[in-house]
Amino acid sequence: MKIRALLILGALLALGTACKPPEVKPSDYTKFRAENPKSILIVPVVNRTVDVTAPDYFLSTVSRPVAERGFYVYPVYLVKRILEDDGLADANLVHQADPKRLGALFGADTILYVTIDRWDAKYAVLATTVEVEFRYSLKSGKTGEEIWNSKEYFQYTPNNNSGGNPLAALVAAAVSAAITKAAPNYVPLAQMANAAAVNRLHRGLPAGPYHTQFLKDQGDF
Amino acid sequence: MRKPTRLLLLAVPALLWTACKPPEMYHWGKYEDSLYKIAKDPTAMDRYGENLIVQINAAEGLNKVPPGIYAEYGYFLLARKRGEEAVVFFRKEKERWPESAVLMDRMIASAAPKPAEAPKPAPAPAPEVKP
Repeated sequence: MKIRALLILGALLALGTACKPPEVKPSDYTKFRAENPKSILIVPVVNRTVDVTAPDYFLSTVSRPVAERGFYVYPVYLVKRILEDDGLADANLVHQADPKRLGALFGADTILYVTIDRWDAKYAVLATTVEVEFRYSLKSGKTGEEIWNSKEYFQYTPNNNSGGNPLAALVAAAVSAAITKAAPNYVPLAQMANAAAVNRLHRGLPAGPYHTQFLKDQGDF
Repeated sequence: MRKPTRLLLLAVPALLWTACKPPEMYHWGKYEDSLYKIAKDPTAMDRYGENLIVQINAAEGLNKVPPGIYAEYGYFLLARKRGEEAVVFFRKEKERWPESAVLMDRMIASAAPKPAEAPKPAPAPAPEVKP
């Protein structure tokens, strides 16, 4: 009974500290504050990995956390199709294009460029580790200058907790490895990385105009 | 251990866990999921459109329509050659989110290119050409 209570207490403490982000070097927000953007145009992402499906999957996960920070986020699917119609089907071309031109074309204050540096699965006998790594760069649509950037790396290994039975643990691990091998699901990991990128204290995006903390979070960003 | 206590012990960590995540401003419905599905399978387009209108109706009821969603639905209608209906949603986006004005004006113009209903403004007099 006593041991169980201690265990529960320990778990509670661990959960409590889980909310705390790790210490990182704070970003310089001078340019961001000077620009004070209201809107963010998220353009198709550049893919530096061998997985050709990564960019479209990634794009489905990025609007939500950015909009929840209080910015107007342009409709990503519509934007992608408009760019294709304008001869910018290749994300590399979009990233090389003048941000001022994109800003004017869409009426956007800023443009968010994301590069996928890692999107892969490491196969092992008992568990497969899935990992993602993204680089984010926010540029002004007026000056073309970068006003914010960030980087996120996340990895996930399926956790097989079968209550101390070694045989059961082995079977569970084999099953989950097979599932991951057939179709590794990167989406939850991408969602976590994006949420971290924009919300992390002293590294993320300061609150935008639709957020209650707009212009009140100088202590945090 | 009696049952209620055990339940409570389960509930506390669950509460703590959700406490990390602030409540969301908008209703996202199945937007992310269906974006992901049309990337994988273009035949999922019908479902994407259905999900968008379901999301819009629910979000309007909660007053939590996310940015971009009216425009995405407008674009879905436009791709289906339902230009008149598309304009309604492009206008809604522009009205709710003034930041979208430049893009929405462009979309409205491309959705309704025929000036058939409205009488054309009188053509400007042709500039005189001097011999």
